[in-house]
Amino acid sequence: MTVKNPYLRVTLAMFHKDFMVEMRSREVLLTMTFFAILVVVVFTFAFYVHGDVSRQYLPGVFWVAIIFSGTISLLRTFERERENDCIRALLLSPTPPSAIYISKTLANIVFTLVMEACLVPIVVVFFNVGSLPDPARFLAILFLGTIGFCAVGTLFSAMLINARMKAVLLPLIFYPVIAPLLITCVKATFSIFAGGDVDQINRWLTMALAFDMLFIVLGLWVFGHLVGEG
Amino acid sequence: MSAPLFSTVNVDELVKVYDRRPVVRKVSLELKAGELTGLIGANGSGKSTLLYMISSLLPMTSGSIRYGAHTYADHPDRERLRGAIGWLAHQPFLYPELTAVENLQFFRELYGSSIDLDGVLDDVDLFEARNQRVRNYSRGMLQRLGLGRVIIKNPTLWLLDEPFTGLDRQTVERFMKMLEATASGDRLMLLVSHRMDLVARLCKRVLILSRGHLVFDGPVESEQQIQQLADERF
Repeated sequence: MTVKNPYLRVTLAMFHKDFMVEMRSREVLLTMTFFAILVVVVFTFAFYVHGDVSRQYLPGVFWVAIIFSGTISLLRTFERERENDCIRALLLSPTPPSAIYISKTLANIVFTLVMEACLVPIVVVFFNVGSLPDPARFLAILFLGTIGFCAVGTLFSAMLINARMKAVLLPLIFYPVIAPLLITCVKATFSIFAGGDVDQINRWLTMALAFDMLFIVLGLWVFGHLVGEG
Repeated sequence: MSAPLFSTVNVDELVKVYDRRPVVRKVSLELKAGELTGLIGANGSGKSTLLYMISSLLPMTSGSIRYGAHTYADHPDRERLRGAIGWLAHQPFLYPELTAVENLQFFRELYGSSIDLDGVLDDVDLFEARNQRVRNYSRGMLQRLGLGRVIIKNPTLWLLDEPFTGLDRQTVERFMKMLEATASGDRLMLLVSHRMDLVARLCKRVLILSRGHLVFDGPVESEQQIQQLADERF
């Protein structure tokens, strides 16, 4: 299938390239999934008392595992471009910087969703959750949380493209910014598993959506300046 | 062959200061279409910084660079301008996990080109190795594929930063013939190299940079002349 729109064509080409590189190396997917599972296993042994009590810890453990392991993907986002100076070839092309931002964010979202697809069944088993009370809203908060996390993370990853201690700096400056989103996701997930008020859950979802939109717009706006538009 | 976006590059009083240390000091020069200009200088003389600024990727401290009638800042289509600048360096800007043909396919999409990839791979003598992953390529093969990437782009301005590093004699010969053919048209080329013999063969005009100052800008005829100029002015 040929994509006519040049902006969309370039965005998809960059996403496809990132996806192919990851499928060949599998360094991000394997590492982040393994790390996420490890976090859940450790917390399960730390917090497990019996079904009802330990389920209260589930939302926090689940989102902490996503945020910590997702950071691995964010750290690698521009590292591949920097290693062989490919970022120079990307910037010296007729590609709008926002297309680079969208493709990188998209790649991070897909990798994080794959990791989450492996993580959810493990959390369900380890925390002895019989069935999901509201699968549609759970999926909605999962998607919105992942999109916001990746939109902000890709932006910060670009900001630190040439920083020497980016593995230390990224969590330091990135986690405080996504704290509101993280709290929203934890609260929404808790309400969903506790069979809480639907209106309240919808309010959390709206907050997550607003956070996502704010940072996607901000990302599209400032990305070019962060990676050296000149 | 796509039409060139500009026919001159005018660098005026260009200055770059890093941490209060001037690296490029009031450099002025002009590059013209159809001309392959050599840029030589000792290590740390500011050649790469100058190239980086001409590429538009590094902001200058003061001065200006005009691509035809416009600077990068006032250009009506900055993305198109960036698309008209090609850079071939010691690093070939390629993805090691992808094959040669996948790398070139990606850059063809990125540059919006419709060039035949088999022809490009043939030109750089990599057709047989097109399905090998680039991580298994030798230094010379990488450099040739990097050249293939620039051929796909077909830029107006070619910035060549030590492009002959790691290449054997036959490949250097092929490479030089290709550059000569391209430069004789309507393209602008700036070549940075420590190989005085190659600069002498390719370039009719040479710029010499010493401690950030442009100390020579003029025609040259032989390797000996360049060597003598370098000895006097480095």
